[in-house]
Amino acid sequence: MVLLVTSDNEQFQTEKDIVERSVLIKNMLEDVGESDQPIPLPNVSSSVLKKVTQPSTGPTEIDVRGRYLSTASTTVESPSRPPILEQSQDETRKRTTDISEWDQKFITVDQEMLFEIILAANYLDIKSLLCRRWLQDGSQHDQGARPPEEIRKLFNIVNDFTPEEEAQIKKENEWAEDR
Amino acid sequence: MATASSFSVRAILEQAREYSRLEMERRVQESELRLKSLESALTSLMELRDRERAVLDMLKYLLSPIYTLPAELLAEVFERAIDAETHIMDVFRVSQVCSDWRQIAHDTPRLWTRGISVTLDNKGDRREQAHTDGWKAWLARSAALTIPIALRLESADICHDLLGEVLKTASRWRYLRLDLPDHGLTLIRRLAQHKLDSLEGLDLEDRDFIEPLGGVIPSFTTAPRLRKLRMGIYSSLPTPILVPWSNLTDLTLHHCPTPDLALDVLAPCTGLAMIIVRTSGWLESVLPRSDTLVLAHLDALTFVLFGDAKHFTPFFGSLSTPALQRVCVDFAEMRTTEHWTEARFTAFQLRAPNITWLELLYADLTSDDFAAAILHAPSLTHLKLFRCSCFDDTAITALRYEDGVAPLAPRLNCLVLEGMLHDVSDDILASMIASRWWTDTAFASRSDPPVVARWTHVELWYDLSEHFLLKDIPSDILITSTRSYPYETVYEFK
Repeated sequence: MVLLVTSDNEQFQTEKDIVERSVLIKNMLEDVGESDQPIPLPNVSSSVLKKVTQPSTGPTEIDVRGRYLSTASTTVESPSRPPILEQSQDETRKRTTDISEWDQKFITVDQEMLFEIILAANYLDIKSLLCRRWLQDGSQHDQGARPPEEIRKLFNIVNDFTPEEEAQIKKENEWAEDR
Repeated sequence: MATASSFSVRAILEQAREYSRLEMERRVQESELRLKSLESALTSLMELRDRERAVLDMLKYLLSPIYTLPAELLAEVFERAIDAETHIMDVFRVSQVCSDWRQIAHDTPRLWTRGISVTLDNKGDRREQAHTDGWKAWLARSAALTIPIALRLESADICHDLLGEVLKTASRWRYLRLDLPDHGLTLIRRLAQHKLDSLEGLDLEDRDFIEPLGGVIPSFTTAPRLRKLRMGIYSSLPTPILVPWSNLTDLTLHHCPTPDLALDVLAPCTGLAMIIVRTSGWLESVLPRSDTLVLAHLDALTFVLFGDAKHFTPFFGSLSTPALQRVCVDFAEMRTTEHWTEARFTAFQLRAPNITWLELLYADLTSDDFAAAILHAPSLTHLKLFRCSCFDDTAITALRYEDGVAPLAPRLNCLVLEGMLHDVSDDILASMIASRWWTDTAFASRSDPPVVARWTHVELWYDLSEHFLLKDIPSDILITSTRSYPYETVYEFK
């Protein structure tokens, strides 16, 4: 077990394998070795830490509505397929099959808490919490980003483009469709 | 002025009946002026309202949680929202939300480095300039980062402006795939003249490039990082390109007319770690070459046979691959039955003692051939057989473990059997599988531990789940099914 101390001075006894999802904490533990000393987390409040260290069976993502997503990914190595030269950005022979399903017992948090969690995840270096479904429709995989107007509506973002920028965007989109 | 509630058309009408015509015309003019003034005031008010609304929205946005996220974190989120398939649309979408996001997206070159496919054909219309400008802008966004790129051309009519823009990025190409017509060597030659300092992989697909006699062979020998190559070989002429062969680690050869030609191409590739060769065999029985080709670093070899020629083992007889771990031999595209020469394959295995993965697809070998192949793979941990004639009761029995008897493949822990061609006895198959499985408790109680590995994965296309000998094996270890899979999955071990 590892003792964590949050910004509001609450102490948390947390299992090592859970806290080691944080690269920051993992590195700290490696640096100090086995120790009973508490690890201070001055940028993380207790309410946020509770969410971030939510136990799960696999990496946990959190979606735009603050729903936790449990994922379990398997990586299948193919010894004999030739996709080495394909354009995949990961440039490996590994094919990742995402078999995740939405956790039905999701936890709902408001958007403010969601962003606090994201900031904490960034501070703690828990990349899996920086969910790609944020900007995607969380109900399906691999369907790309939401349209800009949907993203604006979701996050109260103002369209502040000048007419010149709007014209440039229009040209971009025409090219993207026609290329 | 009458308010909406006190306003009465009838009262005004009654009053106006008393007016002279001149008076009425004067009042009409007055009314029109008043109306204009009101409309002007209304427009100003509406503008004020819209402005206030925008200010309110802006203030709300500045107070909103997403505004608190630092730019680098947003860039990270953008990156995660981009799918490989739809990356151009995705990155445009996030960059078109607001000016802040646009700036972040434009300042994050890595968002613009996914694989792109550029069609170089001249479209011959007014869209050409927009097409070129679009790619120019796109390519500029990745700044100095390397990119995977595919160049496509169907006709001989190239859009030179676009090609010029694309070639400006040649030093940043990490992977280059060329989907060109048969006469595309001219373009390849032009590409090869550029500095390809970042190029790690070159994919010529499986085209048969037609070269006029006396043409200069395109040379990529100045691509210092080039390690991966995929190409087709269609004739006994020299290869259509030159590359730094000894630097290659991954090589895929398509349509090699003969294994001899494949061996000729492989000879200078002394650094190879992975080879995929698709070739026909020899029509007649031949002896392996006297000069054995040593590939000291080769880790994975896939050998795919096609066509009518049925003698293939001399290919293996000519190889020495001491580091080889993974072997796949696929006979699916043969139109005849292969001639498996056990002695030559055994000779190959003796020079490749570290094979851990063996996949045989559509192999027509006897159970003796099979037993010999397994016997000479002492490090084998993974075995997959797909539609192989060898797998009968005799072969199954050979794999059965018995205490006190030296086992075949003692480290074997992963077995995939699919599409057997012969009837096999359920009991013999179940008995073999059960002989290499024990629970932790059973293991602890044994005085002499088994000298074979315990299964980590067994996959059968038979439903043996109810067999009494297999009831102790967990369902995540033993997977039995009668369903069929698409061919693409055939290659992969779990």
